[in-house]
Amino acid sequence: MKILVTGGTGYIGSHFVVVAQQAGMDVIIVDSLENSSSRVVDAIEAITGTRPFFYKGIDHDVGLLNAIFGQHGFDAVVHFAGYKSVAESTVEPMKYYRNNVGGTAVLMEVMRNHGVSNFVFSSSATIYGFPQFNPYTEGHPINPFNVYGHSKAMVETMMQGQCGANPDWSAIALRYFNPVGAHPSGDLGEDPKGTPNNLMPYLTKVAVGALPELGIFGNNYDTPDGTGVRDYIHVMDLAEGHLKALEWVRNHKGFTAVNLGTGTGYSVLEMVEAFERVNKVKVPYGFKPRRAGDLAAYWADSSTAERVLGWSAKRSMDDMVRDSWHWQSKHPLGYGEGDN
Amino acid sequence: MKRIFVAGHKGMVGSAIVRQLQSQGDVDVVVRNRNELNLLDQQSVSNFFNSEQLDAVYLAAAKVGGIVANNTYPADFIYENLMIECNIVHSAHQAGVNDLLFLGSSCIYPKFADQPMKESALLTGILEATNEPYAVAKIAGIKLCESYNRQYGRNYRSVMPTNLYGENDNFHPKNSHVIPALMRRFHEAKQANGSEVVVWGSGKPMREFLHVDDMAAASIFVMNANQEIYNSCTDPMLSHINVGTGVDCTISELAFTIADVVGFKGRIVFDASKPDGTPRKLMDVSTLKNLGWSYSIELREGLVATYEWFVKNQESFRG
Repeated sequence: MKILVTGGTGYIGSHFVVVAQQAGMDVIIVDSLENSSSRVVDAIEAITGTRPFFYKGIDHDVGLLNAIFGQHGFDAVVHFAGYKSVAESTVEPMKYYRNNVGGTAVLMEVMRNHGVSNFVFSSSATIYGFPQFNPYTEGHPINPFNVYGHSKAMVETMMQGQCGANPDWSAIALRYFNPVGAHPSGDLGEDPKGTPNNLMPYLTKVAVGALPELGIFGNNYDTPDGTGVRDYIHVMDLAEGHLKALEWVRNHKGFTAVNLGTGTGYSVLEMVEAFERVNKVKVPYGFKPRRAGDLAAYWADSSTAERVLGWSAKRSMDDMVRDSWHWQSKHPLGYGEGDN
Repeated sequence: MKRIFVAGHKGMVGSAIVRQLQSQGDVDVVVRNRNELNLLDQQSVSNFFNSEQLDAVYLAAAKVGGIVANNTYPADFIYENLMIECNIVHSAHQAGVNDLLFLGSSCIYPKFADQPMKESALLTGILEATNEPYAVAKIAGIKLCESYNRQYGRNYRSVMPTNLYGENDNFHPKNSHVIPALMRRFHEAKQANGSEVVVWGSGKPMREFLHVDDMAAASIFVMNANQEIYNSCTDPMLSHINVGTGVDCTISELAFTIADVVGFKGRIVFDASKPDGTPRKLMDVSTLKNLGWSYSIELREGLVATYEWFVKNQESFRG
């Protein structure tokens, strides 16, 4: 099976490429490298023994996409590419709509023109908005409260439209919860450019000494210890979920959406404590005021994934904090600078 | 029909490109002998381009030579190569020729470059001193192409081959490369019923070899590669593409294979008192693979074809 992976050098995309190649798939990556390093391709080759095809480009470049689709006959497209900062999306909304929504529209159009009808999309639990009930089920109302979430929800709407108009199409939206962890080799992991926005990369940067202190935003939420509660999921579990999603699109028609989470919530403090306990490192932290737009607590109802995909997360919180630290401590500078 | 100029059509690579273009049939291949067109003369080259209505150019012309020649005539090597490149690239641009492929050499890379050598190793360290002037001219050729692309939007691409061998190679007994040199020595030893051939060095260094017909195929492939895909695999200021097999072998493996192909039954002695050169030299060919091309002629198969040609052309081969 030959697949196009957009955003294949990004955090989640790269881990998926590893498991896809190990499952015997031929992988072709397109990535703009705006927020990732070309060294990821070397890391994937080192782990799997196979170098994936790699094209530097963006997913709304029709010329490049047509050329790539013409050169390779794809069985499916797994679409990770997209901007992912909630904070940035609120100040640069058009950047997010153009890339995340416009880019995906172009990609789906090119797919249709080349007769490729299997589509796996990286959606997000952010699309649910304020929890009307917890855990979120896939039936929870879609009501995002930031531009990033809207951009993901709009793509899901487009996918439904495309599947409605093209009965041979099969598209699945995977609604991620909070991906953490790294490949167990320690040679592939999360390496955001600039100061991290998310807990785990921030935490590992503090632990490695690159940042002085972890700021925990809010300790007076209505949660057991007052800090926010999230459904952290190991990136390797997430990657394996995409393999199951590819199976689904090959055997079904139409659109569906599935939560990818563990079904368990952990607080920020629980994660910090697990990190210190498992890795035997100290992580200095301090409490800060709540951050606008942060929710108190949410996690996934993961039963649909189990029923529809036959998938559930296998890795524990200890695996997550151990593998995150393994990656960061083995590669304190991530993939290094200046080799794009 | 496309009119394609191959500069350097008498050379090993140029002649292979001409053979392949002609076998494709749908192109008009233009060549000029040294006495018809002096590539060192700007006015002649300019007049040639202005009158020929060319569509594309393969720039395979160069002054080449071994260590002794490079050391003895460094001025000739840097001057002639710079002039050939400047005259052809600039005249092609002025005549509106949009497609050009420049052929370089793996000697553009620093002496101590990490192995296998990636394209990005260019200009990251000092060069091997013996052929530095030649290498600098070849680096200038890459930058010439890139600069016309950046300033004028031209489509001038560059390929950097590893060690090549095959038809039309130089079989000179003293200043030829390892494959033709060994082939000739084994051949002559076989004919003289010699019992022993001495190979310089320990036999342990590792080298990569590409058959010239594969090089020609890769050159034509890169020249014709889709613009969008080419752009996505290169950068405007890091545009050259390595051409090789990505596989290397020891000199002793090579020597035994050539002896076997030639049919030499005597002993092979490695004279470890002679210098070995750098322990390993291998191209990273992932960019070319990514573009969609991989080599197809295995070393043994290529050596068999080369030896057949060598035997058939005893009267006319170079050297």
